[in-house]
Amino acid sequence: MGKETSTKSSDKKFLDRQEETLLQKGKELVSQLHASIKTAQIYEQNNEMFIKQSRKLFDLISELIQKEGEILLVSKEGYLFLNDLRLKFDLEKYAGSKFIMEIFERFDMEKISIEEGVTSSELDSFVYLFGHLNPEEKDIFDLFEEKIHKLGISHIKVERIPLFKKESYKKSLQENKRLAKKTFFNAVTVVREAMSSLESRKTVNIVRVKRMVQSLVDLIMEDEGTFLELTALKNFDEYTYIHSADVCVLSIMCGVRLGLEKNKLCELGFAALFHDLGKVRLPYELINKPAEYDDSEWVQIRRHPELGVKTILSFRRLDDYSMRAILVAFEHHLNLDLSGYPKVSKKRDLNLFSRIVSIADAYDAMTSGRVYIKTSYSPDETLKRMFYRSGIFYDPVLLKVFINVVGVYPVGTLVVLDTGEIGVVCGINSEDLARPRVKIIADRYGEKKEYKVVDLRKFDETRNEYHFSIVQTLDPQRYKIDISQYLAVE
Amino acid sequence: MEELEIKKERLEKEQEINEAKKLLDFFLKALKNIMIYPEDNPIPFEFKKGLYKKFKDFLEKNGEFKIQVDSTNLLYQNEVIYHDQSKDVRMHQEKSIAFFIYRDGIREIKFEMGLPEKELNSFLEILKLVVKRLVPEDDLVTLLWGKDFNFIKYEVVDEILAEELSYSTQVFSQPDFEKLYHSEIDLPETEEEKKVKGEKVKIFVENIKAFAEGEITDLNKLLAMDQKYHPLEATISVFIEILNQEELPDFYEMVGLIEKGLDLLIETYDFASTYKIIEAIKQVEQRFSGISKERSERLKIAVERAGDKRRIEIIGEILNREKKVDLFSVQDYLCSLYWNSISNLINILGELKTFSARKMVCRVLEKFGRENLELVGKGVFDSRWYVVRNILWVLGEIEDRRGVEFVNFALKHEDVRVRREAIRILEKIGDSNSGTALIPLLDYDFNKIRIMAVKLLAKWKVKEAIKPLLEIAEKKEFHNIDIEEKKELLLALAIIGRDEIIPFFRKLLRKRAFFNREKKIETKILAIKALGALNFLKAKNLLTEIKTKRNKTLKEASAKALAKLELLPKI
Ligand SMILES: [Fe+2]
Ligand SMILES: [Fe+2]
Repeated sequence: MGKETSTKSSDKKFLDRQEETLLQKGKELVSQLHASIKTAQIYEQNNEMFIKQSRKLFDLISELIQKEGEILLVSKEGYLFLNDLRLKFDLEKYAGSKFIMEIFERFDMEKISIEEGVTSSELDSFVYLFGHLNPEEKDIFDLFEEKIHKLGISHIKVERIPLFKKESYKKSLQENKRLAKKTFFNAVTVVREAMSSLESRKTVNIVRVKRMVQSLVDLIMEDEGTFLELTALKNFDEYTYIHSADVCVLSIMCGVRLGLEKNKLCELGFAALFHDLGKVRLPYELINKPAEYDDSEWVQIRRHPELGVKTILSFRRLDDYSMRAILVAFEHHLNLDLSGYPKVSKKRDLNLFSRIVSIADAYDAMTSGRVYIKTSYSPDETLKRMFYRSGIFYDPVLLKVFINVVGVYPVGTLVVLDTGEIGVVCGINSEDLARPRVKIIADRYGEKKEYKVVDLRKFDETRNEYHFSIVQTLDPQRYKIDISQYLAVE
Repeated sequence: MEELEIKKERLEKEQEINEAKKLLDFFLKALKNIMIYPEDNPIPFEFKKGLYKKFKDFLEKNGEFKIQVDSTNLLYQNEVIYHDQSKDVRMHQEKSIAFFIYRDGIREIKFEMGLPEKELNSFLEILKLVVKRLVPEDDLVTLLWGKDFNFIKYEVVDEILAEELSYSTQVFSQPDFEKLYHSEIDLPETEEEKKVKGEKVKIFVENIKAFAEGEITDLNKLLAMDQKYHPLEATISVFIEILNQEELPDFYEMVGLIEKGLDLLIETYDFASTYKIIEAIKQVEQRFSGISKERSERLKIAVERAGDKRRIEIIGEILNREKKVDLFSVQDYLCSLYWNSISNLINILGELKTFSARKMVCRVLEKFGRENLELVGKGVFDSRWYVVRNILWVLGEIEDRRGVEFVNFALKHEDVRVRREAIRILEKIGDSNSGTALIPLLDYDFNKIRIMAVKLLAKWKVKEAIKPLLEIAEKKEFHNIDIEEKKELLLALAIIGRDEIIPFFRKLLRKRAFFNREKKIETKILAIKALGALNFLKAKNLLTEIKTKRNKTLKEASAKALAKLELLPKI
């Protein structure tokens, strides 16, 4: 009996290891495919650079086929699957995976299968097609399939997204947006409720909070864009609650890039959500003071990290979640060089989660800039200011990760395009951080226009330049522009 | 024809529902077994295996196994396949299944084809945790989520009723596009300028996008550092920082909160953590002693509270209830407390059910006793005999001469088991000066105890014992007592009395026996043996004298004793 169990568990270990290798190879495959398509977009098929890159991909594919028999790459519900195994991506491979999923979507494609016997020239031609077909074209999938056929590629097959799936995908995208919004509001509600419970000395329902953060994690993993829009919206009456939800969302996004496990993401979100909980114990008038703080008020404000620790302790739980939240509440204003507050008696390395939250916190606070305080910056200006303090206040690598999340021109930035048009950034292209999607709100004469979304990645082949580029960013407050009106969350 | 089709379809459906019901029944049976038996037991193992096979067959045939949940039923294709029998109390555990799933907001669970054994087993484990209420900070939904199943899906109702937020309370009647356009926008004039600006952004973007090798290394270091993150140690470091800097009222509040935290950890019997917290409190207390009396006093109170009656009793209950508590960490924790916990520990000592727990507490008392012998020693006044015996053991381990006082008290204990232990411990920690306390035991009812006392009196050569020993030996009934006791008593007399006792032996050996002859001879032989055990002149002389006697038995015995004496070193 005992013997039987032990062989079984060693079998299991073996399978786990096998799965682990396949996962690793899958990540590699996606990243090589990404690199190959990128090279194909620039070079011709006979170019040395292209061939070199494509060979790398071919070697990997041959290795995989030898092990697995065939390769089945599927894009489904916001994930990539290799032979039924769901792939996970970390920081380095993240943009690549997004890019590949986008390619699948744009080509109306659900599946690529590569069979034994595939040749390198077949692969070259196949990859080259991605770089040179225009996905905007009508019936792109048919065209694509026809080309594959014409080029005599017989060991690589593609499958179209079935119509019903496409419909339901569209629907689920919409449904996701709705859910994202709802969950974001839930997050705000949870913070508001937690704070009012604490004020009336009631306990906070931790399981409820956890469940909310869990669904937040799920939705963020599926659709970051909507959440970037949501965090760009500001409401000054409920600043503390919304700020908490924003920091929670932005922190989780960072964690996703770092490849943190789901449970850790939830822990991170939980800690981020409650990072300012200590404010519940400061006077309401102070927290919501419509002017800058004087010195004595600052002394009070600077107590909120310790008060946060005490407040979380009063949950009467000392599990991993609460302990991490205690740590983050305490450390989130310390700064990397410990120059912040509270002052500490002993040198300490800030916890990973504290480092993430402090970046998300600073960004959100600076961009939120409550109405009456003049020191509020546009998102891109905020990032620049933060970047000056990289390595001093903020962890330099994590700050870069953060900018990769929100983009160089974050959602909500008011921009002037080289066409003279005015627009609001409404979506990030993780592929090209400086070329987001922009909703044009006024033409070059300052006339209001029908809103139109343009993708700044769009390249004009004939003129050999981009259709639109950002030339300047502006402070919306100054021109009485309410950014939230233009964000497509509604 | 069509009717036949319909009939066939209905039959198939009925059959499928039937199979679903069977699968669920087996599932519940398996769950029950998993909850009853420990993990390493073969029974739940077999059940899990069987269940997996049944699931596999069902899923291969039907594609999925989807159950709807309402408060009392589980349904398959709208047919009830499980009904909650809540009226029957004995069915409570099973009853709770639909209820537990429903309570946490799950309305549908779906198992899909390809379900791996691993997922099915973790699903069962989760149900077990929830039904047994082992995870207060989680519910079924949070636990399922944490497992990130690929083949088990579930639908949950959302209980949070969020209000829609109205964004932006700034009322802008009209965006000032005109102002914007005419006053502020500085479009780059020249192509050159445009290019430079574009380049700048490009460099910044490139810098942001690409992660240099060194940066990836840094990041991996950061992630690795987080792997080593220890929640409690981090929390304690925060506690220490806060205690170090707070003004008095806030300081008091913080200590109060830490005390509450300690209680929480005790409730979850995380004694490794409580130990670390107490050590940290003591460390901070050290820092404040001499600097801030108030702070130092308050921290001392915190440590005292951690060992007060109520808390030690709770620990006692935990030790009796939970089998998996790590006794080493409990021991560390208890040892880190102050002396005020001693009497409370003695108190629970009598309530502990397992030997290992009692032994652990004894070890703790041993540690405390080295500094506070008095307080531990007082345990011998406890009304429970077994507690007294444990305390004696502790005194024995401490091996402090001052413990004799308490042992002497226990020598008079009404329970024979206590007296026996007391003699044993007295031997260990006492010396000849403590011997007189043994004398009263010579009158004790149990001869085993009397023998032990006599032996020890002999060992310590307690002069004061001669008289009472003689009194016993000169009694008529002495010949009739147990041979073992008789032997030890005579030996003790010989050893303690030496020259002084020779007249008694002479008298004993020369006296003729008419009545009770056999027993009396026995006494005499034992007396000869006793004399022969010690090499001193007067004894030798007496033996030589007896050797000349007529009684053959005595003669032989003396000869043997003398021969033996030759071999002994001369004293
Ligand atoms: Fe803060
Ligand atoms: Fe904050």
